[in-house]
Amino acid sequence: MSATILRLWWIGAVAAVLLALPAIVRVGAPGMSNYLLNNYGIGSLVWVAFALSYDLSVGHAGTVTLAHPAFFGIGAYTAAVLSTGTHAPFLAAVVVAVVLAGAAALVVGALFFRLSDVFFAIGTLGVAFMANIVAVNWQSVTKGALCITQIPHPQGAADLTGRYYLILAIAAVTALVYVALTRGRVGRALAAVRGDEGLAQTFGANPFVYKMLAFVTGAMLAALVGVFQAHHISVVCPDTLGTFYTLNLLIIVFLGGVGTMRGVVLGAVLFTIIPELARFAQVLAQLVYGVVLLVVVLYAPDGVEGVLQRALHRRRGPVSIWGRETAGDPAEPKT
Amino acid sequence: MNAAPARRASSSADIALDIRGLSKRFLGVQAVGGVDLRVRSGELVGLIGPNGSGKTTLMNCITGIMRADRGEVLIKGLRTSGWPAYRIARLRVGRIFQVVRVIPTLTVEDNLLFAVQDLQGDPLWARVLHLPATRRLDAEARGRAEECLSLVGLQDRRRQPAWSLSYGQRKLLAFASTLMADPDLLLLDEPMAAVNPAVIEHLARLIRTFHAAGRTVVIIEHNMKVIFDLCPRLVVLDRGAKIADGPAEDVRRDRAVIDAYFGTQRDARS
Amino acid sequence: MDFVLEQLVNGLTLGSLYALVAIGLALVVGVLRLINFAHGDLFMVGGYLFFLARLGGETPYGVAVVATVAGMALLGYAFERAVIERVLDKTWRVQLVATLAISIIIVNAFIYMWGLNPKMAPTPLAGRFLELGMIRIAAQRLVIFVVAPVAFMAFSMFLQRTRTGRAMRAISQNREACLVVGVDPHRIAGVTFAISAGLAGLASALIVPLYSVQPLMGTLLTFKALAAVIMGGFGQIKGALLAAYVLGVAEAMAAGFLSSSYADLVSFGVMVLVLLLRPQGLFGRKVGI
Repeated sequence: MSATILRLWWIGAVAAVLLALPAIVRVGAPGMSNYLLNNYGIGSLVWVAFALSYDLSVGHAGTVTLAHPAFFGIGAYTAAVLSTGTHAPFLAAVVVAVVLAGAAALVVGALFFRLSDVFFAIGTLGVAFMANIVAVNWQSVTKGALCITQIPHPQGAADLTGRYYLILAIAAVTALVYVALTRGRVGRALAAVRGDEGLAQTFGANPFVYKMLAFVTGAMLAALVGVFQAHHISVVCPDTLGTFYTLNLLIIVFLGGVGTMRGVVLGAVLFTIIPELARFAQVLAQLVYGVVLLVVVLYAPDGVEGVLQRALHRRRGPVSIWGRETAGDPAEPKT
Repeated sequence: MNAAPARRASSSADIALDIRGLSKRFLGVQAVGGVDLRVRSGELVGLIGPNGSGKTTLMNCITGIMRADRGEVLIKGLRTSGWPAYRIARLRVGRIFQVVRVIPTLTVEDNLLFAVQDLQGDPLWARVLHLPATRRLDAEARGRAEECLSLVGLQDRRRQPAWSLSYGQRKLLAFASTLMADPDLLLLDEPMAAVNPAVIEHLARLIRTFHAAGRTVVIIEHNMKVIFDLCPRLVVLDRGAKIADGPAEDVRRDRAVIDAYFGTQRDARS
Repeated sequence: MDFVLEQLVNGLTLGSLYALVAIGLALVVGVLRLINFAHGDLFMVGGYLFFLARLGGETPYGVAVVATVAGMALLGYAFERAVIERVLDKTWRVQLVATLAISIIIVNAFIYMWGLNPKMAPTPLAGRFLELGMIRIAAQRLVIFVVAPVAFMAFSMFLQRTRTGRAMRAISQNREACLVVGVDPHRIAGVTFAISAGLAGLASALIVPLYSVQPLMGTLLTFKALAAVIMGGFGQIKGALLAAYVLGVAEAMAAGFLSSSYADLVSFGVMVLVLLLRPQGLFGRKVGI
């Protein structure tokens, strides 16, 4: 069988399992089916979509942004405000949230992409802090630390199964956009911009355009996930906007395999399943995550995907730019 | 060379590169001071001079990596001072760097595909949607890439990631990428540095063929044999200033040039 | 008028805090080329160290200050040799994520140890107020206004007059040349970190009596220190110092005249403004610290 057919079979199988998951779970574990579907099924898909949207910027454009939760938060709060205030339908919240997040990302990008490397990250760190402060203090809209509660479930998808299929659709859309931006000409351009921005310019590529594309698209997708999450757990609090989720995103992306779709999806699923199985106390969990992130980024920056690729293809070198120096540094010669 | 599309006939009156009074100071040193240089379309010019004479800085100012403090750069008659590097590149200006640079995570073939794609002017939204027109452009580019790779001898490595290549192979890849981009004005910064004699011969042949098709080439080199073999015209910089500019035989014998390199008079005075 | 003066005093207090923390960060950035996202947490750790050193009021203030500074310096040196060394040779992306992870580890460790409730460590001077003209200020603030400049001067003299200080300045200008000449990079790295930790410790020993200490207080401070360092011209000590005071006063004014909860937005806004108008920082591009 050719590689393409094999891949199609694989995708088909995964899709079939995902589509049938509610039924599978109900038959396989009838007592726990709601719990499983909610925490594992929906939970993983939320993180898959959120992490893929993040990886566009971090793994493909090479821009480490610390402001990603802010866009998720824009989505969540927009949905919360619109649905509790005006009873707007889900789709309307999506449209407004995505537009708002996109606009915010355009502004942030325009302000900070002129800065190189770390300075961009610092700027986005500031954005995250500021978003958190606004969320806490703009109480007339966000109700501050009291959170916005009693957000209704989406009409037409109010029960758990319905919400599962909704997030499945969202994750599929995210995956599709991810594939569109990371293959072909755009994918090549992003790889060039993250690998050696100066060299990319030598061939006529405008790095700003590509960074913005990844950043703004990622922001809009994050907002989409945020809208879902608001309608799903029915509560939106200010800490969704700060740096809290950034740790989770970083762990998923690095543990799984930064810049690779399979790696990021794997990381998202692992990140959902393992804590559920382990049931850590909150503080200890964050501490462990921090340690894991530190160890991974220093000693195995290509994550599980890197290990897999090395095992499957017997590659000796790194998979991503994180495992080595970037522009100008020659590798060990391989005749 | 079949890899290139048909060249337009260039009249010798075309000035490919016109540098007027260019000065650049950085890290506390006057790297380039008041340099004038005119290169006609189709010329092959060698840019030489002792270490630290400002050659690379000059090249950086031409390609837009650095911004000159004073003076102007005109490329094909357009005033490009202050333009970002990518905009200058789109005028079909190519550059090969002193320490070789490739896109490490892309395959050899993809490096070449990237080299040409942002010079073809197809819109971004078409690329995002992976429209058939875009895919057709890529298919054509793949064909050309095969030819360019054959010219440098890397065709068997087309699927290998660029970081796995040796230094010499990366040099060849950089050359192939430049061929792919097919610039009208090519600037090479020490292309023969750190490679063995066989590769030097290969690269020299490539440069000659490239130039023979009507393109303008400016080469910075320290390898004197190569420079004297290749370049009919030499420009010499010393400590940021131009001290000689003319036919190679004359420049070789120029007193000021010999002094700059061997420092006889300067050393004797100090 | 006295309201303005009051805010000015607040601003200078805040500025002194930011300055002590920021010049430590500028030193690390300039000498080690490391942008340490865990830097603000040094201040937090110093705060707890001070709290412990005070033993509830048993130890005299001066002794507690010295103990905090010395303790932080030692911790800083050890921390650099044990953890930071492994990060120094990595790319900026890895350093970014690694120092972020370190910050998360430190903060959560302290939450686990101390809980989220703030701890107070007041000193007699914090409770005693002086009438200066039209305003009342806590005596502790006067201590800050005296000690901080002394610390800056001592730091400056260290950089100019001592061998280690000169080595640091040399490394920040040209690292390769220094290695060739035989400067021991590991020792310098350790000392650099020790100094920046000591400065942060001094800052916390001065400020904590006025406020309190809790595990999350370092994270926003990191950002403000970064903002000051960036505004001052990257890695330059004097620039960071001045920028820190500008930030402190601007924030206090915003808190006083606009809204205290939005005061933190000021540092962000000021940084954005400076970056847009003068990207090389307020003091231009100089080589070295």
